[in-house]
Amino acid sequence: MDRGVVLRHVASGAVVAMLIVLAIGSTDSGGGSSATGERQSTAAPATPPRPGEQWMYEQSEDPMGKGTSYSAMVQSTNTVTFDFPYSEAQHATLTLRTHPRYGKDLILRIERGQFLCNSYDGCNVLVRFDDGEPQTFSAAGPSDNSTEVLFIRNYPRFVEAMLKAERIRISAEVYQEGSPVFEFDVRGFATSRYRPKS
Amino acid sequence: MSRCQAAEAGRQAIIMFRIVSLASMTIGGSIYILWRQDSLTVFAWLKTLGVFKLVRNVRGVFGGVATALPEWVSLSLPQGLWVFSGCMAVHSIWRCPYRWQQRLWMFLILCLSVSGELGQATGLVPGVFDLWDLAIVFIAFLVAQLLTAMDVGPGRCWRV
Repeated sequence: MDRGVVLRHVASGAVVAMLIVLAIGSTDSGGGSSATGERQSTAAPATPPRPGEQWMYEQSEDPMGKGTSYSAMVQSTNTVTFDFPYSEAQHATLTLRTHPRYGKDLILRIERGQFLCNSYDGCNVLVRFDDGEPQTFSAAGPSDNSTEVLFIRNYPRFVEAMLKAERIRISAEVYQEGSPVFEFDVRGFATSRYRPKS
Repeated sequence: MSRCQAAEAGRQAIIMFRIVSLASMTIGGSIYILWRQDSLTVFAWLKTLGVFKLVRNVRGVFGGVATALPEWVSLSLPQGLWVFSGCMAVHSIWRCPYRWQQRLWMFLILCLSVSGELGQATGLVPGVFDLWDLAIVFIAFLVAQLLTAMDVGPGRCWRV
């Protein structure tokens, strides 16, 4: 083959490779950072993600061999900043999980801080779906007593309302921080991607 | 047009197509960096390169423009611009008289872009399927075909 033709093929391959790199760069890694330094701030992205793009779905095999665990996660669109030693803006994450051993759970997680909710007494959180009335959901801390996680009870009621809503605000009490509100964009939740086999 | 004139016109066309390609790629990339959410993989790369703070400041300056833009500009146009850019670059590489090789590479670019979109529809590729994305990719491809066909019209295809 003519050397010139070979070089042209190589150059064209480089163009295609460049386009592939751009395509990979434009995928969502799920690890946003929107720290603004404000106590509670609005979402940083200038353009909100396409409905559904903000959800992340995961499947993992239960190490005890009981089956597959399915999770869907969405990060709060706002950030909160707590006092020392939990400073730095942080997001909360809302997770829907269907686990072969633990059943169905709604998990609210912060990166740093202490939810005031233990595993035996439990607590209440306020949840507002779109502009509806705030609803009280009972919740409990995890059995390992870690303080960054809350298990919100009444999964069926919550998910039923979530599927009809675009935005959810959850307010939960945090040690020495009052009850910060975490806001979640729940549009475009794909039930088929959450539990594709069911 | 004489052979000499055609050769000179060919040189100029190649330069023009390369400029257009670079501009399209840059505009597409800028839309992503300025107006898309910062959870995209590209921002992780920018953090690794240590320029994320600079980018965040630039986003702060231009962020307000996003509210005036239709959604398809920030969400779908970049992909179309990249397909267009790729086709322009391939044309500037091959131009005359390698029409079939050029078409092959352009078709590959189209196939990759469409398969990525269809992969999103089936859940194999991360992201959300959107018909607008597909439509804009096809429009970009067709415009590129039109421009390249015009460039290699009768009497314009002497080897440079």
